[in-house]
Amino acid sequence: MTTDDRVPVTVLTGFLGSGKTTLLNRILTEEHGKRIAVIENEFGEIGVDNDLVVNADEEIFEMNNGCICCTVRGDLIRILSTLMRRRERFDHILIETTGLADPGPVAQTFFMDDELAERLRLDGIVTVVDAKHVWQHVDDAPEVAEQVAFADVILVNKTDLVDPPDVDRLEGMLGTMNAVATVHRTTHGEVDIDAILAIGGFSLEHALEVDPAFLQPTYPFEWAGVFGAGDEDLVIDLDTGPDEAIDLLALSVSDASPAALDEVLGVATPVFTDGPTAIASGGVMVPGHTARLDVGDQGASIAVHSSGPVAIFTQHGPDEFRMRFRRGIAPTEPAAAREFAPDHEHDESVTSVGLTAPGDLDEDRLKEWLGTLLQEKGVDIFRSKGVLSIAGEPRRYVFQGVHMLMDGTYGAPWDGDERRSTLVFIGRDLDREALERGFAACRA
Amino acid sequence: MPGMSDPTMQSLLGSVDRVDGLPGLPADLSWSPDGTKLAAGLGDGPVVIIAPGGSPDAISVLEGHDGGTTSVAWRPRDADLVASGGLDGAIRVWSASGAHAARVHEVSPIDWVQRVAWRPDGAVLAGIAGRALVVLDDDGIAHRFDDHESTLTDMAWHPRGRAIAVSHYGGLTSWSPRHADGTPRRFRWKGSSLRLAWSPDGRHVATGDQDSTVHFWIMKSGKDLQMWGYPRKVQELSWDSVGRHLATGGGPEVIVWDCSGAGPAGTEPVVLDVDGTPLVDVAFAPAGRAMAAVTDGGTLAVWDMRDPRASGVEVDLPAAATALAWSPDGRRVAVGDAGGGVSVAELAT
Repeated sequence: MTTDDRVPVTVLTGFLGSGKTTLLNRILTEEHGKRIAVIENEFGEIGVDNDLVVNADEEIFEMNNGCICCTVRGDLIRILSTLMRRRERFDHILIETTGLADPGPVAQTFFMDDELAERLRLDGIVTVVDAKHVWQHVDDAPEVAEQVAFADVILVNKTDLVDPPDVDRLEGMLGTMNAVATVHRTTHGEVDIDAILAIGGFSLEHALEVDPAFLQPTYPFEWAGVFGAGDEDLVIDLDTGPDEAIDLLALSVSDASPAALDEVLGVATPVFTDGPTAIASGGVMVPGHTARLDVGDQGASIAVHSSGPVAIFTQHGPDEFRMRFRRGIAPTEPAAAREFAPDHEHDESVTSVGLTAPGDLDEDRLKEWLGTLLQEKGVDIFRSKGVLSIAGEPRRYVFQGVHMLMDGTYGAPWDGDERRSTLVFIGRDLDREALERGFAACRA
Repeated sequence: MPGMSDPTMQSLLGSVDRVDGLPGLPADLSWSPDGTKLAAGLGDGPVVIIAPGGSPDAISVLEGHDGGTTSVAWRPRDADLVASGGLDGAIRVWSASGAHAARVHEVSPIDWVQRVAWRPDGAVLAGIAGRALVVLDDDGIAHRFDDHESTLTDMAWHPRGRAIAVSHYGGLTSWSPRHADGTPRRFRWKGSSLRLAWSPDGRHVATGDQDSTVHFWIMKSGKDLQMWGYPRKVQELSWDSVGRHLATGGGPEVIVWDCSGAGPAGTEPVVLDVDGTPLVDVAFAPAGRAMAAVTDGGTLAVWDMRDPRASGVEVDLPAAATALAWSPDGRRVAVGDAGGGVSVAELAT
């Protein structure tokens, strides 16, 4: 079989009020020339003439063995196998889930049920988030984090109702939860249809596309900026923030350039975590020593005892404490700044862990490790993806999984490309160090 | 069938006729009680009435169900009435001759009708839609049983019409319409039962399940036996005419269990290979000794079950099979296919 003639399926998830229905209506009314069957959740209210709309009741089938990977959506099996018994085929099937639906059983349905797997292929999971209200939902409803974690595409919708820096911050948080999803910013669900219906998120042919920043090591700080020299001390003013104190570090640099910032990055990490000194508001910090500034419920100021170019590292993003910088009384801005993926996003336990290493992996050890890992931690690992270099194998090994289910095949040859293995796990309470150790032990 | 001394030399099947050009794919087939006509419910909507062996003009197309027809059932002892269910959430009763107007019974505004079945005496009709089982008489819906924990997947009458069994996630439930306010009997299995078949002697109900098992329920005691090891979910089930043998699909082979005596536990089933797997359906003839199976690859296989290993014959269909039904006399087998046709094969002797 050279071409995959199975009908693609897109799963649309998102919390109530995120704009899912608006997006669905847009997809259905736009001139795209596709015949789409829509499986709506039981609360849906869409009336469309040319496409078939069926209501689903989100019926979870658990199997007798209690294995989570055997949990499937019975309603989808029933509906989809009936839809396949028609002469007129659909070009695409769109499944809308309720705001509280767990995407796991939906995705697993297309792997677990042979009849559907032969006729349909899961193209991708699209999650719509409400830029304004998602913050409270992420804390209140674990389903929102799961929907973000499972997504191949995340639409940050209603961005017109939120200030751009807040959207940036939201995107940063979504990125730490799910580093491999493509994020689009939208208002009223306005997005190119192909960005939704032709994702190839579950296609093994699609090589892993991961934001390179994500594969970098994590840092104990979330932000760094470099400031040029001045006649007076650099002063940082802070309002109150999510915590009562914040750790800050200043390091002298050769000049106020991005390259100079990168140069001290390696030094900054150990210094930052090496026992900060408590400093009260109005105090002065010396370059090379980490300060723990008490912000309290009043806000605080701290001066940096340096007139030369200096890099400032902050435990939290500047916007969280509304940080302002000045020399004397003159406000100033960093000449260059960088954000870093935080180690832990407050209470959020859903994260992505990316692993990459040059060279080959040993096939037997890899199988043993991955098999045991997915068996034991499969409940918490929502999605996994990888492009691996197996010793003695001229082609890339490409795999992806949903919970404990895994599907892999050999893809394009390495030829002259640098052989390298890259793996991503998205899940809840992932133990990065254990994953790094396990992965390292597989290296050939 | 006398003198099959050399079965390999003697084909079980005679002629095969095919009617094509139907306005959709047959999802379900049902013969008229006299075996002269065949009703086909099309997944695309219409219900068609075919006279096998008659002229192609003899096809009559009934409106059917908007969105698709899922089930058709010709009324026992009646040459004219055919019931159907479909995605419009209605049960419709058609006059095959067109002599009477169709009757419509709206069952659900949301859920579609999955299956319709007449009580064996033809006096009462039952249907399932969503979590509801409805029983209809001449005046409309007489009973409605909603007390099920999930959507109903299949339904069958007791062979003498005493009760109706429905399958669903979590096992089986059996209702007795004669005691409509009574409580049902529950037969629990933590899995999803997809298809059921009540044995002609009334003693057993078999279910095919999503978790690739077959359950063999002993109705009197409420106990069950589980048959494991099927490669796929099991949606193909059929009892022979006396309730001794149970044919099952659930993969590339037909597996036939002998359920006499203490039941199939610990016994070796008969395993029959078919080309073009996976199986789409299996069916014992309601009379006589023949059994048929059809596949997604477009094969019809027929066996004489007195000596199945030696007697199997296969016929290539022009497309994947979609439905299978024996005529009431067990002499002809009809197969619907994804090419929009119905083939009728006749036993040779």
